[in-house]
Amino acid sequence: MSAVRLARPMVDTPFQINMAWWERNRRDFMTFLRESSCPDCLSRFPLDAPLSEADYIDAETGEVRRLNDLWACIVEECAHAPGYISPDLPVATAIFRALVSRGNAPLSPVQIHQIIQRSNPQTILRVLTGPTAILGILPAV
Amino acid sequence: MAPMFDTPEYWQSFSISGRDLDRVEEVFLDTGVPKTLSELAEIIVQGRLQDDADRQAREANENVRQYQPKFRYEMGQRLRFSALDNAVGTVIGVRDGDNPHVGRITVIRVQMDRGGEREFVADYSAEHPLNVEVKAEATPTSQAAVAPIGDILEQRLGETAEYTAFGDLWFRKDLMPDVHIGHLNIAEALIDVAGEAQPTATLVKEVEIAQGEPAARAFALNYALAHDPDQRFTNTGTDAKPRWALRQGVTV
Ligand SMILES: [Zn+2]
Repeated sequence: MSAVRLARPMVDTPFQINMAWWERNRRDFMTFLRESSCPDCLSRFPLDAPLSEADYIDAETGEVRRLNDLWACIVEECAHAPGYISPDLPVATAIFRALVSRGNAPLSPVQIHQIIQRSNPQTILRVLTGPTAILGILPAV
Repeated sequence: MAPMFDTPEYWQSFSISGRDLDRVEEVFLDTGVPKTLSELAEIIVQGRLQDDADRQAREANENVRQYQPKFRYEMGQRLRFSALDNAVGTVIGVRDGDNPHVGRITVIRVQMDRGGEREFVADYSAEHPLNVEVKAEATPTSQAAVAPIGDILEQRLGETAEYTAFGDLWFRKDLMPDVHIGHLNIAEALIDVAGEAQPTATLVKEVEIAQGEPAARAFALNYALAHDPDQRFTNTGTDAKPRWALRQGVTV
């Protein structure tokens, strides 16, 4: 596939949770991350416990992303539990979990569709390119 | 590494890119005639192979090395990332990695040519798909590639307002010769006088559509007959070889 980026996102444009967006909008990413983890992990990393960060290595691309302990736990454990991305979740939450479960590796609407197993790439693209960013999910830089 | 056209994984993640669509548009503008899906798919495959060959030639000149996690990299080194659609970038930083589970690693910071900075692991000899020796390239057989692309392309063109189909043929609406109601009235009279269904080739000769390649005129006429607001016509042949009759008193 071509390395040329088009200004208008398409179904094969990679998207990612943009941390700067969360800071800019003064939204608490950790609250959403906690809601995306299982009770087990939550008790291991209680609210007041300080979280350290480490270099997390992407199993496909070799990319390194800084993930905190709780997030690493989600990638390694919660995300593998059956029903982690259950059909009952709102679509936006399901997309968010798809990205969280991959340690924020950039994913295109086509790939997100394969992971969440619902809707279709065009609709996912429309959800992600609406007037306001959904949970800080933006085209990958 | 060339795209692995012959693996199922390739097709699961395949989608038509903007560049593919540009090529499709180009071929219509150049030739001015409708094309079948397999012709268009062939153009996409050949285009991608050409891009790949161009890229390899360019990189051989520029001394770009394929990124593999197990190696060590230096500032200024140029790398290509096969897992990121062969994006190329320059190493602009090297630091010690920090992950208690994986032992000593290095992290390189890369300025990507297409914009943005990313970090990658280096000095990492653990099991990783990118650490596997790169095999000689599989030569993509375009025959194997064309059929799946045709299906995916059909869906994509169907969602694109500029394109329309008649049977297996696709064409750009803005290149279609104008067929107006007068043309359809002549076609109706011709079929009526003949007393039997008429092939498009016969009709197109008599109807005298002003512009366009013969294949474009035939496509436009077929399309117009099929979409006649008064629904006077019916195709008693096939989409590939249409024979047009009048709905009232059809004689084949
Ligand atoms: Zn968990």
